[in-house]
Amino acid sequence: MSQYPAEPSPQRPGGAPSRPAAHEEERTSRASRGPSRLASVTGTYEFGVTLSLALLIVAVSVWAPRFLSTTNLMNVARNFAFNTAAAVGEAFVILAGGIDLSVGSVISLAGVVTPLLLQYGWGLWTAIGAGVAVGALCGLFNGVLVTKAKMPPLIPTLGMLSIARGLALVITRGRPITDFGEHGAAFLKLGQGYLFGVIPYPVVYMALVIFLGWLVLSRTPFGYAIYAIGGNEEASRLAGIPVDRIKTLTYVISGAVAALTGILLASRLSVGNATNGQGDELEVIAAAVIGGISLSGGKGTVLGVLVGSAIIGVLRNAMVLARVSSFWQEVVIGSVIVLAVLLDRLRYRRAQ
Amino acid sequence: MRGIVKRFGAVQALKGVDLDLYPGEVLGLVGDNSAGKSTLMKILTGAYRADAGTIYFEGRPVAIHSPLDSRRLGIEMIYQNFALCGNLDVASNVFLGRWPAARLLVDRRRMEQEAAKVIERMKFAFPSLRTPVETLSGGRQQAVAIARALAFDPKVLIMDEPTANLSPNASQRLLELVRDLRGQGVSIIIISHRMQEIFDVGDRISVLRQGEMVGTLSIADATEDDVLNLIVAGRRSRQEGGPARD
Ligand SMILES: Nc1ncnc2c1ncn2[C@@H]1O[C@H](COP(=O)(O)OP(=O)(O)OP(=O)(O)O)[C@@H](O)[C@H]1O
Ligand SMILES: [Mg+2]
Repeated sequence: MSQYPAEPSPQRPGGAPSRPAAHEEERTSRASRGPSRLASVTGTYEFGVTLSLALLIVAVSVWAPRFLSTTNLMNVARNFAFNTAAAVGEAFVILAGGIDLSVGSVISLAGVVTPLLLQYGWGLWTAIGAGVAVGALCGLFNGVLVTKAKMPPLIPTLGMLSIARGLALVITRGRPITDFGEHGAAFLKLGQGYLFGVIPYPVVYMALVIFLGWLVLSRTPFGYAIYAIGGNEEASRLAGIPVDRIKTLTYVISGAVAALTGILLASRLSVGNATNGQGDELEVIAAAVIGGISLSGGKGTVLGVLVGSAIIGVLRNAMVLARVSSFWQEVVIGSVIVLAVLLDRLRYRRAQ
Repeated sequence: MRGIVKRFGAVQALKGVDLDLYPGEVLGLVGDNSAGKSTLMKILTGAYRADAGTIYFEGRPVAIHSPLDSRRLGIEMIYQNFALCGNLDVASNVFLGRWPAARLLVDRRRMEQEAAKVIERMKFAFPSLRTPVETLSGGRQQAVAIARALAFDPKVLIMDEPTANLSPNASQRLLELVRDLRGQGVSIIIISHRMQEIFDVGDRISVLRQGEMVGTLSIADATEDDVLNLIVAGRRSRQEGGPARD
């Protein structure tokens, strides 16, 4: 068994093929026989999307060589870094069988709370901490309504989408915040600076979130419990897993990560605006789903989320290079999302 | 268990049931469909909470509010519908909710070694411990559920129709395992519709009928007919008591 190189357990145990079309017996024998191991890797959905991303990159760079310039690539990476990070937080929720529609609004809310506190003269890190705490509270609200009031996750998180957006508008009176007080320079550096002069800080942030997300989800008992709950909530409960607490925590994580992302985004854009994250929830959820996080819970990996988000990012950049109008961009991205959800359904239909 | 009552809305599933289980015995629990067998056992494991009644464990009253409480006491149950997570692999399901961890991370190597040990003890074979459970056949899924219950050396083991999906051969091995465990002092409750199995391995047999305990017989001096009469009519034999006419 130890010769299996694939990702261990929850996400894709033994690199098991994720194509539901494979017949049961075929799968079992495939998993047990060595030589066909390659087939079981190439058969995974992750492999498929990664291949799609590679093809997309090749196509775009042949057609527009400046796509491959370091400046452009770093630009692309920085642009999708925000969505990727938020999508990793979202993945926690979706993997446990929920959904969080409020991430876009939380991005906006934290993106005005921290700048405002800076304006009031708070320290840089306390202002950021407070912004993250606000996001975590939004998540706690979602989580408690889902687990204790037994609401379907769409309802409280849709409510929170509206509440957080409203609050962001209320506390800014609808005006953008551009004065960040005495720590303004330090704050702006977070979203606009570079590590070693090349890697934008938001990309570093994304990498950290991905690493931590991967570690927690695929290696810790907490992560195993998230997959277990997404796979069979009732069985998890019967096994003594504190299901409600863990589900609540996934919303708190999603809220906190969205908040931190929103703070960095405000820094990157040099403006704390209640509209900063408006509509982001769609792209965040899309990145997760395109990346193979099943909307029915329990399936998918953080690395898939990165690939899914990169596909959206590259597609957007390609359309910019091709001067596709931003209105049409929305149509294209929307279609890709629908396609991804369709694939998700087809993939897991047999399994249910 | 004393005076256990459980209602589901208008349905009264259990109407004040008493049940005793002695150390190192195998108790058969039988009854028609919807007699309340699974419900009674789920109360013992904390999956459901009783509306009234008390559970005693090793002589002391205990509060079992969740499956975690019962598992801590050493009570394990194999549920009728297995209660597995199809997306997780065999080893992760055996250790569901109790994944061995070292320094905050799940210790996969230890988990797989110990899962392999348990499965070996059951004399069951798996192609790989890393196969997702949802791709396994019903019998193999059942074996995973059984392995989970055995992995933590339970004091009390409850099996809800454990042989329903097993081949005659695998059922025999399971019954042998039950005898072994009994020899090690484990108390076992088996729910089964296959009377023969209970007569094979059981010490006593308790009969539930429409939410009431209608009798407990010693296997040594009862016949399958006695039990069937209890199940159907709530009386041990046709003569005894006769039709109620008082
Ligand atoms: N979760 C529930 N909600 C509502 N009613 C329930 C629930 N669980 C059990 N019941 C009802 O309680 C009664 C007893 O059911 P239970 O599952 O304990 O029967 P059983 O003896 O295990 O039957 P079987 O042999 O079919 O497994 C039935 O009338 C059933 O419909
Ligand atoms: Mg039952």
